[in-house]
Amino acid sequence: MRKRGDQVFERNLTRREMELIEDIQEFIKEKHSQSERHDYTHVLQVVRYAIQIARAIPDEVDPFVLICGAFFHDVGWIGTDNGILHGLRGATIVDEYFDATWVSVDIKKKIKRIVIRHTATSMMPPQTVEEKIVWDADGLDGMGLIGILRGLVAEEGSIEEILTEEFRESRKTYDKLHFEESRRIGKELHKETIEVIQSFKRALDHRLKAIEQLALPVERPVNWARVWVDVEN
Amino acid sequence: MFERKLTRKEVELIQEIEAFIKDKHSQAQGHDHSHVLQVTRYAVQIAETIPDEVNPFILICAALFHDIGRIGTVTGVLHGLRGATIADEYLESTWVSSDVRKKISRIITRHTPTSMIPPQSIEEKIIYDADALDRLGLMGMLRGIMGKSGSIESILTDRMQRRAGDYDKLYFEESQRIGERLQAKTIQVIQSFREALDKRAEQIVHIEWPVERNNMSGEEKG
Repeated sequence: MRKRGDQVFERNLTRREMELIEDIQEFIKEKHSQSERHDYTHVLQVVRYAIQIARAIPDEVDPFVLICGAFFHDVGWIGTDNGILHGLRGATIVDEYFDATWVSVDIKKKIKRIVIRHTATSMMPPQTVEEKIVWDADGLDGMGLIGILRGLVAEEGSIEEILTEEFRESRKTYDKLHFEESRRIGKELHKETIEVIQSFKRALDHRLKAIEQLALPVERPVNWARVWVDVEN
Repeated sequence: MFERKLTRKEVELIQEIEAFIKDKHSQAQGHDHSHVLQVTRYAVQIAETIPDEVNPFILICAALFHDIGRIGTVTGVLHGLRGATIADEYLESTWVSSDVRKKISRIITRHTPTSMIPPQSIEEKIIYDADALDRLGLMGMLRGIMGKSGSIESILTDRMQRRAGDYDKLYFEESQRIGERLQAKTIQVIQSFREALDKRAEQIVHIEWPVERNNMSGEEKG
C-alpha cells in the first residue's frame, strides 16, 4: 500500500493560496445555498473526493488548481434552471473572479479548463490530470444512495424512468473513471446504486401489483386489472 | 361496509372518470396516476372493513378526483379547493345530482390539510386516511421528495418530520392496521436515509487540505 501523505501532491498549498481558497469557499457556500440538486454539500464532497484521488495517484497534481477547479465546478448552475451550458457559464464566472485576485492568467486558464471539461454538456473531455480528477470526483458523487435521491428530487419523469436512468448513469460513470483510486471508491458506490435501485424497484412492483387487485363493489366482477393494466406506462 | 353495490350506470361513469384522471395525471410526478389508484384501493379496503355505511359511488369518485387540483400547478397549496371546482364542473355535465356532487367536492376539499378544513363525514375521513397511507413506506417517501425544491438535506429532514406524524393522525383502526407495516418501513427508510446523510456530512467536515501546518480555519471542525 502506498503511504498516504501530502507529498503526493507536487507541493503543499502556500499560505496565500490557502487564504484565497477560504474566500472562495465562503463565496461558493453562499452561491450554492439556494441551489437544489447541486447544493453546497455536493461541492464539498467533490472537493473531498478530488483531494483523496490526488493523494493516491502517482501523477503530480497542482493542489491549488485542483481545489479551485473543484470548488467552482458547478457555479455555472447558479441562477439557471437547466445545466446544458453550465461548464462554459461557470468558466466565465471563474474568469471574472480570478481577474480580481492575484492569480496569474496561466493558473486561471487551468482552473477554467477544469470547470469546462468536468461536464459532458461542454462536449470536451477532460485531458490534464487535474481535469480528470474533478471529472471523476463529480461522477462519484452522482453514484450511490445520495446520488439517486438527488436524481429523484431534480429529474423530470416517473419514479421508474428516473431509477432506470440513474442506474444507466451510475454504470456509465463507473466505466469512464480515469484512476484506480476512483474505481476503488466507485466500485462500492456502484454496488450501493444497484442495491438501492433493486430495493426501490421491488417496492414499485409491489405497488403496481397491489393496484391491480383493486376490487370495486360491483354486482358482477369487472376485470379492472385489464382496464388499468398499463398504469405506469 | 358499503351500503350497496355500484349500479351499472355508476360503473360506466367511474370508468370514464378513470380514463380522464389517467390522462390528466400522466404528466404529474410525485402525484402520478399510480398514487390515485393506490388511494382508491386503500379507500375501498377501509370502507369494506369498517362498520359504518359508506356510499361507494361518492367514495370512489372522490378518490379518483382527490388530487386533480394539482394538475398544471407548481405548488399544491390550494389543490383541495381547485380540485373541488374541477370535479364540480366535470360532474355537473353528467347525470350526477347536485347533492351527490356536493358530497364529492367536500371530500376533495377536506382531504388535504392545506384547505384547513378537517374531514367530517365518513367518506371524507376514509379518503384522508387512504391518502395518508400512500405517503407511508418507501414509495411514499420517494414520491414525497420528487420535484421538491431545496437541498436534499432539507427535503429529507422535512419529509421525515411529516411522516412521523401521519400514522398517528389516521382516523380508523383499519387504516392503522393497513399502515402498521408501512409505518415500520417508513421508520426504517428514514433511518437509512439519515445514516447516509450523516455519513456524508461527517465526510465533508474531515477534508484534509494539503497544507504545511494545519492553517485551514475556514470550515468548522466537528
